[in-house]
Amino acid sequence: MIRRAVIRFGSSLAVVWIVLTVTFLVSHSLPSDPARAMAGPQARPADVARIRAQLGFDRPLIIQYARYVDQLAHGDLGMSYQRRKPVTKILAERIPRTAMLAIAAIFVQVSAGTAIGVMAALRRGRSLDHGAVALALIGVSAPTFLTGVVLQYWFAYRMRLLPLDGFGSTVAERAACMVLPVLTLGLFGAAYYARFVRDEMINVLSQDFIRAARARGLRPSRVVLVHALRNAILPLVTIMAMDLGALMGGAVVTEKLFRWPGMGSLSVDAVLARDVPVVMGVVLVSSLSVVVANFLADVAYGLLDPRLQSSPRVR
Amino acid sequence: MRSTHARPEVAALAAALVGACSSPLAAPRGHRRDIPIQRGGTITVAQYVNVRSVDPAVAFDEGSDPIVRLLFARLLRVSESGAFEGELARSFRVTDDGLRVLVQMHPGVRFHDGSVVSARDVKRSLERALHPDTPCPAVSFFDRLVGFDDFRQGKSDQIAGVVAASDVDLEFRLREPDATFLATLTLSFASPVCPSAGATFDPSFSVHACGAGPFRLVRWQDQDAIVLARHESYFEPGLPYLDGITWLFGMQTTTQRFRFEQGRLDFVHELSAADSAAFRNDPRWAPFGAWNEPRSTRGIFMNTRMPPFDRLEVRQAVAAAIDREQVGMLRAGTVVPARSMVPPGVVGHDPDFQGQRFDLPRALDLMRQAGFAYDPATGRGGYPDPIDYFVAAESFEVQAAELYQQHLARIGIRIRLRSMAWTAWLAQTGRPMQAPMGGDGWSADFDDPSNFFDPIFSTSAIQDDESQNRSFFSNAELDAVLARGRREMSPAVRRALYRRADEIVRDQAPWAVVFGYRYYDVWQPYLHGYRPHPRVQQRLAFVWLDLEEKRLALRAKNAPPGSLNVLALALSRRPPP
Repeated sequence: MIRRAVIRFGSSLAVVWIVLTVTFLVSHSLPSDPARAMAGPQARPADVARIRAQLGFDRPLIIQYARYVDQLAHGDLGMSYQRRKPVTKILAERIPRTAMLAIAAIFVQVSAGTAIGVMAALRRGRSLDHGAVALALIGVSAPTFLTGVVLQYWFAYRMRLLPLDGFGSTVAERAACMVLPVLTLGLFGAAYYARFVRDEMINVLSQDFIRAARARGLRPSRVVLVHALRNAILPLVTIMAMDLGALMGGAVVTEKLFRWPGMGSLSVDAVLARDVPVVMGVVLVSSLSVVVANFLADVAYGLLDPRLQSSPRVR
Repeated sequence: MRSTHARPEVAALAAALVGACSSPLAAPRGHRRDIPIQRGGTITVAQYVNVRSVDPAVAFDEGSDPIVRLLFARLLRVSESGAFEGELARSFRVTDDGLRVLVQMHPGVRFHDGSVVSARDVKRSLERALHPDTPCPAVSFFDRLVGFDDFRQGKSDQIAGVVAASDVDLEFRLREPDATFLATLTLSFASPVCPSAGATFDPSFSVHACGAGPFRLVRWQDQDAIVLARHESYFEPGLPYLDGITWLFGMQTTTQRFRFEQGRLDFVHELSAADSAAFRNDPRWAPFGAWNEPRSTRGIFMNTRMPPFDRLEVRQAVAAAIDREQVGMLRAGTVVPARSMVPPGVVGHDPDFQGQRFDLPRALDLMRQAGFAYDPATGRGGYPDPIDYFVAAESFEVQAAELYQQHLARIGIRIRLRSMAWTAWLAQTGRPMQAPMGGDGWSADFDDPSNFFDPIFSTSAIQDDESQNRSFFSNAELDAVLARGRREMSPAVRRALYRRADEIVRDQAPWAVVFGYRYYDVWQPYLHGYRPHPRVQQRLAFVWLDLEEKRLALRAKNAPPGSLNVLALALSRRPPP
């Protein structure tokens, strides 16, 4: 078990390193100049050249890469070209904000998606099932920018129930500011999860062990929630882990629309401005998030299905 | 079968949702009262872009400029009529030989930290901005100062050409006459910064920025907001009127409109074209809105070293084939057809100048003269190969390019759009034989017509890499006119010189000059003292509030529309920034 965990950890680090190296090479081989992006489109070439020399862009790529790796080994992600602040400090501000959003969105996705999926499966072929399937179709089809604008328009502009956007400065304000972006992200995911859980539940409910449980006289709610649902949501764990990892990289459109100062808005600004240290930092966080989320998914698999704990491979 | 039935339902639902969002404007709740000026109150404004820095040594972009102006007083400013006038300078003059600029400052001006601003602070601040370790994007604007090179190369620890003769007397010595030098003193680089800023650039200064402007920095939440409060010791008596300004960043233009209608913004500058039309056409809002003058010129560059644009007739044909009025209709009002390179919001604009104009028969004739005769009836002839058109992937530039594609097809020129990120666009179009044509533009760095010719049309602006002269246009007469314009101190002679420069660009057509952008500002009825300044956008330093009307209006706007509004009431006690 420990050996497997060590191998898994080592391979995860290798994946992160490969991702970072590829990002570094791609960032530096693009036909655009971070010094120009920093100085502005109208800066005179002599001024751009000065900034380029100050930032070390005039040195060979291998030297720049070696310097980056050396800094990384010392926990230093460099300085943002645009914000002129240490990248670690910027990420330390942004990660908790995005984590709040991601965890809340996953919670909405899983709870709403599972509830709708289970109800639809139990009422298969009836109006509730058709309604849930139609809603799920709309939810999955609607892009988040449309869902977000519609929610913003109705709940913040027309009804004035919630703030239009922003991050708030108190806990209460922050909670209120979170509602619409979380719903925007959550509804999309919930629709997807609902379809997934419905199909899995329909499949599981037709299995022999469910018939056996019913034959033993167990309460219907126990049959559904303990016996069927536990098996139906197993594959959902993997999807949830992938979603959590992806959301930690930032929900670009939603964060921009609701002015949520997380990783998504940071990464868009950094990519557009060719702020390579920030881009590298965001990629590092995203890749680590995916790796960690997958690791947690493996652990959760073992807990949810004890049969897997004794198997030679987790998955 | 199932999906074909589902599609109309989904489409109808989406249409209903989107349609529901396009409701008419709410009426302004506040009233305009004719009352004496009041002191007090705070206003909230917003913008789409985030501010990266407010350090006057490095901040040089549209997003930061209005805020830097509030925090840092400048030596000079441009009046509404386009003349230079003193801000910190009580008087100033250029000597007859054009080699010295003498400035006398107001005495007793104080920084936000309470210390007195002297001429030595201006010298220190300018040297801080031009220091070799400072990533200042406009160092070369000051390269005519005596001792500039020695300072930049580290041979001297100060610029010999900047002399603080006394607490209030300042002298700038130039190696050669520079008619644009006064204009560069209206920029932020020579704004005095508090002694705590140090002698060299420190990135953390932005977080506790300290200058001598009408407002001081209270708090800067990165990517969220800047909070400013009145500088009580500001040197202009009684100013500013407001207690403070909160400036929000990263806000979508739609959200700005929503917030404005709710009374949570007091002023909007970045309305979408549709929203600005709605405000303009609503008689209830029309008295509280006005246009800004365009401060940029946009058009099509044509690489004069690459075929077919090495032929003058082809360039002229392109310039004549573009229907500028039609381009303006893409965003009615905000996109204004351009006639001159120098836009109306910049000093030196000549409203009577007759520039390039749409003339399709002439364009066809020019194509014929170039050997590429085209018959619109049959579609035969024209330039045989498609031409790559490089465009930065900014939405309007792409829209405009699609229209140019149609215009140029009418004279037998087929263009293939190559859309890319603007950083990639800068790199690719700045190399000599890479981009035959593309969308280009220039915004005013400072108020002088030379700024619209020197960097983009002079031979000296041609580089093997990162060339800003993307047409790679070289014209001996234009170079001579521009060189003379830089040294010439007589306004009348300079006007004639830059008119000639405009004529050369019109006739030689390294660019098809097409349009300029402008913004429509809207403010709440209770906000007084604002009107768009023709040279400075969003000049909010000296506005004031009808406090009673604002209080009533906010109360009216926050009134609960229904029983669902418990949460809104709870939040309205302290609205999030």
